[in-house]
This record gives sequence, C-alpha cells and structure tokens, in this order.
Amino acid sequence: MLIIMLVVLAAVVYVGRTFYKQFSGRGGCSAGCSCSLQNKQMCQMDHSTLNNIDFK
Amino acid sequence: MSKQSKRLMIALGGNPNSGKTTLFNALTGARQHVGNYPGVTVEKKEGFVAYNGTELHIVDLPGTYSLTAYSQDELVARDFLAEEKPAAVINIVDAANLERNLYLTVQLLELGAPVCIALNMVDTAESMGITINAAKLSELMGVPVVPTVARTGKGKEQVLWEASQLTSANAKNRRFKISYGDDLDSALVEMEALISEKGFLTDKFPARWVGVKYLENDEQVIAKGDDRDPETSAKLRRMVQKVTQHLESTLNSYPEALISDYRYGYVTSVLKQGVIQRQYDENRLQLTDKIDRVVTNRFLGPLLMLAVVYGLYQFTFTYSELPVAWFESFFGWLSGIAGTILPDGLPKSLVVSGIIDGVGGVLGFVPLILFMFLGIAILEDSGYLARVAYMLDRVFSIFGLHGNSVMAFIVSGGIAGGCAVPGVMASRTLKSPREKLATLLTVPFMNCGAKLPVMALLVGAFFSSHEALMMFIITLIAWIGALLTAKLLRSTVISGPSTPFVMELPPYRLPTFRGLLIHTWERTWQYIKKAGTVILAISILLWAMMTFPGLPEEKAAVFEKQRQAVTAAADPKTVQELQAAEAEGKLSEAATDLKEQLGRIDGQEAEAALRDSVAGRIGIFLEGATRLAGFDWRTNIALVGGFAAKEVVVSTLGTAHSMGEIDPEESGSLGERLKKARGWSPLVALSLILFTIFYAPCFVTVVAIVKESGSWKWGAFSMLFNTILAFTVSVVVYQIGAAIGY
Repeated sequence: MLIIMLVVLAAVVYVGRTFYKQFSGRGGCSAGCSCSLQNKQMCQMDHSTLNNIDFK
Repeated sequence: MSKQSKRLMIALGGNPNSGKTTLFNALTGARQHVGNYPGVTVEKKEGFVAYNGTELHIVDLPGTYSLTAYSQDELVARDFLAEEKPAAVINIVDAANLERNLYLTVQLLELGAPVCIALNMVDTAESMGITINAAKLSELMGVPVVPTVARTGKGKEQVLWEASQLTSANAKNRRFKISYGDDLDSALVEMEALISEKGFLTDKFPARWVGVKYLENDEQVIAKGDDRDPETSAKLRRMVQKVTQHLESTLNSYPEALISDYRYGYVTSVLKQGVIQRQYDENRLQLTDKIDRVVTNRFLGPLLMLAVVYGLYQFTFTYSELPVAWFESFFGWLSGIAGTILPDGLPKSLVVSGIIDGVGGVLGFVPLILFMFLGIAILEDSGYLARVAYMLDRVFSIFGLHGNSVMAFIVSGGIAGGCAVPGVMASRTLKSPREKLATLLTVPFMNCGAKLPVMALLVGAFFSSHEALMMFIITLIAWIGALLTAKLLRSTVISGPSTPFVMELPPYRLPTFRGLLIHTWERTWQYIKKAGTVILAISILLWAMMTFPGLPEEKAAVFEKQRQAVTAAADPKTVQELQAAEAEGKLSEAATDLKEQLGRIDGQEAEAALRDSVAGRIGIFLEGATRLAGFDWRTNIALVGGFAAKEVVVSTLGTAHSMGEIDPEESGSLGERLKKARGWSPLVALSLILFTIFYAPCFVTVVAIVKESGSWKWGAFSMLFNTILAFTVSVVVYQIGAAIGY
C-alpha cells in the first residue's frame, strides 16, 4: 500500500509540476505537444498580442 | 579580459523560406527543424558558436518580408534589432529571389543595423540560370556579400568572418540613406532635425528612421513617441499630415506607398548595374511553375489536394496495420505476463490495468503515428503544404479567416497529426487581431497527434473495412466545423473586415532521405516521450481515481457470499481440482464451468468497485446527460481525463475496460474489447469521434489561448463553447442514427 501511495504521489507531483510549468509560461509545449521540434520552438510566449481589439 | 571570454551577439534575419534556420543549424550545429514553407520561425531562436577565440551568440529571428509593424513576427525582429543592438546582422537573402529579398535588406540598413549579406541558395539560382555578381552587389550596397549554400554549409566560415569584422566601429557607423523623392526628402530633413534636436527616440533608433516610420504611419513607433514626448510627436504628425495632403493633391498617392515604391526602385537600380545575369528567357516557366500550373489549378488543384490527403491516410493505415497488430500483441503479452507474475491486489491492478493497458493503448499506435508523420514530412519537405495553404486561402477568406490561418490549421493537425499549441502560437503571424482570435479559437478543432490514437482506435475497431475513408471524412468534418465556427464568430463577437494575404510559394524540392527520417523520428519520439511521461503520470492518477475509495465492506461481503455459495454448490473434487490446477491450466469441464462462474462474480465485483470509485461516481453523475449522445459512465471518465491530454481518452478507456476484466490473457486489444463491450456500436463510436473532434481543447492549448489572447475569458470561452458544440453535434448524430435504426 505504501508503494502504491508513493507511486500515486509521484504522479501527482509530476503532473502538477508539468502543468505549473505550462501555466507559468516555462513549459513550452512539453505537457501537451507531440509534434515536431520546430513547432515546439514556437511555444514560448511571454506577452499578449490581442490587447487592442475593439469588440462590438 | 581573456580572448575566450569575448562574446558577440549576431542576429540572423531574412525573408521566410530563405534558409535562415538551415544556416542557423549550420553555424551552431543545432538541429532546429527546417520546413519548406514560410513561417517556421515565429519566435527567435538562439545558439552559440566559438569562432576565433570569440563566443558568438547567434540569434535566429523570425522570417519577415519587411520591418513594418503589421505582424507579431515583424515586431519581434524589429524590436530585437532596436533593443538588443546585435554586433552584426547576417541578412540571409534567397539568391533566386533577389529583388524581393533585398527590400528587407534596405530596411535593415535604414535601421542602422551592421549588415552582412549571406547570398543563400546560389546553387539553386545557378540551376535556374541566374548568376549573381556578389562583389558588385557588395560594392553597390556597401555591405559584405558572401555566396552561401546553407544546406551544405558552403560559405558559412566566410559569413562568420565577415560578420565578426563588421563588429569593428568603422563598419557599424556607416549611414545608409536612400531618396524618397523631393517631397518626402524635404519633409524628412525637417523631421530629422526636430527628432535629433529633441533626442526623440534616438536612444534606440536613427533619427531619419523615426521620421520614415512616422511617414509610414507605424502604429508602434507613433505610440512610443506619444508616450515619450507627446508634444514632439504631435509636431511630427502635423508634418506628416501636411506632406500627405500635398502628395494626395499632386500625385494622388500617400507616403507609405511612395516609400515602398522608392525602396523597390533602389533595389531595381542596384540589380540593373550588372549584379544579376539571367541565362534564359525570363518569361520561361521554371519547373516549379510548371508543376504549380497543375497542382494549384483552380479546378484540378482542390481535387488533387483531397486525393493527396486521402492517399496519405490510405498509406498510413495500410502500412501500419501489421506493426500496430504486433504492438498490440506485445502489450497483450506483457499484460498477461504481469498478470501471472504479480499477486492479486493493488500492485497488479496498477501495473496491468493502470500502466500496461492504459499507456500501452497509447503506445500501440506508435507505428501508425510514425507512418502518418512520414507522409506529412514528405508533403512538408517537398513544398506541397505551402500549396495547400495557398489554395485554401480562397476558401478561408469566405469564412472570415486569413490565408496565414491555413498554416496555423495545418500545424495544429489539419492533416491529422501536429499539435494545437504551436497552431495557436502560429496565429501570431496574422496582422488583424480579429482574424488572429478567430484562428486561435478554431485551430483546436483540428485532429492533432493526441486525437489521432483516439480516432485510430475507434475507426480501427468499428469501421475497419473503410479506415482511410473514415479518417478522410473525419478530417473534412473537422475543417468544416472549424470554418463554420470561424464564420459564426466573425459574424458576431469578432466581426470586422478581412485583410489581404500574400504568400510566397517556395520551389518544389525533392525531400532528402535523411531529412525525412529526422523529421519523422523527431515527431514520433515526442509522441513516445509524452506517452512515457505525462500520459503515464495521468494514467496512474486516473487509475487511482478509478480504484479508490474501493468497495465498501458490506458490498464486498455480498460478492464474497456469492463466491462461497457457488463454491459450496460445486462438487468438492471440482473445487480441489480448480485450486490444484491453477498453475497447470488444464481443467475438466466442471472445473472450467466453476472457474467461469467465479470469474463472472469477480468481474461484477470489479465493476461495482469501479462504479463506486471517485472517477466512477463522476462518470455516473454525467451519464444522465451523456446517454443522449450514447456515452456510458466509463466513456465519461475517459472524456474527463481527455481535458488533460487527448491521448488520455485512449489510456483511460484501456484502464476502465481492463479493471473489470477477468482474464487479461484472453481479453484482446482495447479495440476488440470495445467492440464486445455492452452499449458500444458503430453509432456510439461515431458520436464519440465527433465529440472528440470538437470538445474542449486540452489544458495546455487552453493556456496557450489564454496567453495569446491575453485573457482567461477566451480560454473559458473555448472550453465551454467547444464542449457545448461537441455535445450538440454528438447528440444530434446519435439520436438521428438511433431513430433510423443504427
């Protein structure tokens, strides 16, 4: 049971860490991208690009 | 300071598809992906190379045609040059398209960048009968020009040498200036004087350049000017207004158009002074043009495109069938071995149901993914994908999207594969924020590499005689859904005019075997890596959610009583035989019957435990609504897991349909289990396929949408709108299908 708990805990930590990295903008596509390296290069973004839309 | 500690920053700039990334790889030894379509580099990339005792920090900027402020990639390139002030800029110029490429060179020089021209793909130009006098070009432009072939590394040493020489002060401070005609030149003199006097933005930009940007009505520079010194900015705008009115009344033109004309005029005059020699009739069609006459033909082109996509799926399913069966057999064998070795209990359940049946279900599709990526790499490297984008632009404009949206769609999995995250990122090449938003909200409908195993599983299990056709139809449904949604959005919340689209069509190139292998392997490895890390971890979590809190004692006691009753009713010899024969596996008819009865009770207990688990309760809670679309509670668990990553749908179905299994050795592949499972039919599979296409993007894509749009509002919108749309489509299809007897 202890081993099971440790394995599940490790999975929780890993998923949490991965999503946190994603959330904080440091993860690139790592958590969800099974595409090419070139596309992964496009996954770093630190600013918004849509600040000036005048919506109806 | 030691020689080794010296460090210089060198930027690589150039038009899209001019070979920048190839040269970057050649210089730095990196393995950045190179695509034969424009727009590979949207963000800048960095690498280091030691040269003559100096560490050169090489930065690959996004490919741009100009340095205006219309799109994100142009701003990235321009801001970098202005803010970071690299010691040198290696301007990669496509020798076969010199006139268009030198337009950017002129702008780089106007910005005051210390430029060295890498005249790239001279071999291609020569094969087209174009000879360029590099020395003459260097003399006329006043910058070093080095002929290169980035693909083979030819000229890279000399480029580095010239770039490192540029860093000396005498080369940097040369001022480049071209005439924009009397009217604009006079205005510029006045503006430059005012800008210099006030020190207006001159800490970052040359005074004349600031003046030119005001004349071009450059929103970013004007905003910076307003922010820094509103009074001077207002004066400059008044000057611009005055000269604009004059130009309108005298030439019926405006400053931006004239500036562009004069830049091209300058480039043309340079080229006409013996820089370029063509050894053929300029009007003669090149091979690429000849192919394009057929491939991009208004009528034949779209038909050919559909045939190519269908052919790709046919190729993928045909050639991957056998290896996929091997992989499934392997994981079935592994599951059986683990089931035999491990004692009954939680560790066995975790390893067999959680890991092998879960992650194994995802990894089983590796051969299919590999063949699909190989096909896509061939289309991409040959230059055909760029033609697809070109042809679809006509369609896209009808639905309020932009031609650049096509590449974002393709990157996201327009032809199954890819990933929505870089697709969302690719939307930044769009100039109009409204078109950008419409694009990033609709690209998640494409069939990314994560949805591919879900589709392959359901198509393989329920539509096995028409796999390629079904996949082709799924692709069309995804595109039609995305385009109709875009039209809806562009007609309501983000309405506005469409902007024109100009796309360069790169020449066709014969893909190299090595290039195809690298591209295919890179993508396949990403898939394997993801399955072995994030998907594995999520599968373990979902297994835990499907296992705990476990069956309450009183419920477990009911099943135990049933077992005891069955055993008590059996002949004691049969019970003994069953207990003794566990290892041998040979049983009499009565013992086999007893084993099956006990197995059924075990299965019912496992299902009851699964229903009682955290995940089971969530699945059952949702079942009231999802029954309308044909989904049972197990499918609901898988779909909830799919919010984390779409492959999890497969792994969770694998786990959920394994936990109630009696004998893993006899259970077969997940596809076979689903075919035999209660409540499953081709109609349910179709409904689930449609739901998977349209429902909420995975978490990572939602984060990407939030970051690109700058608002959680759009991330939440994407999740809610997509899920409601997916549910509606699935319910309609399932109910109609059920009503007509499917």
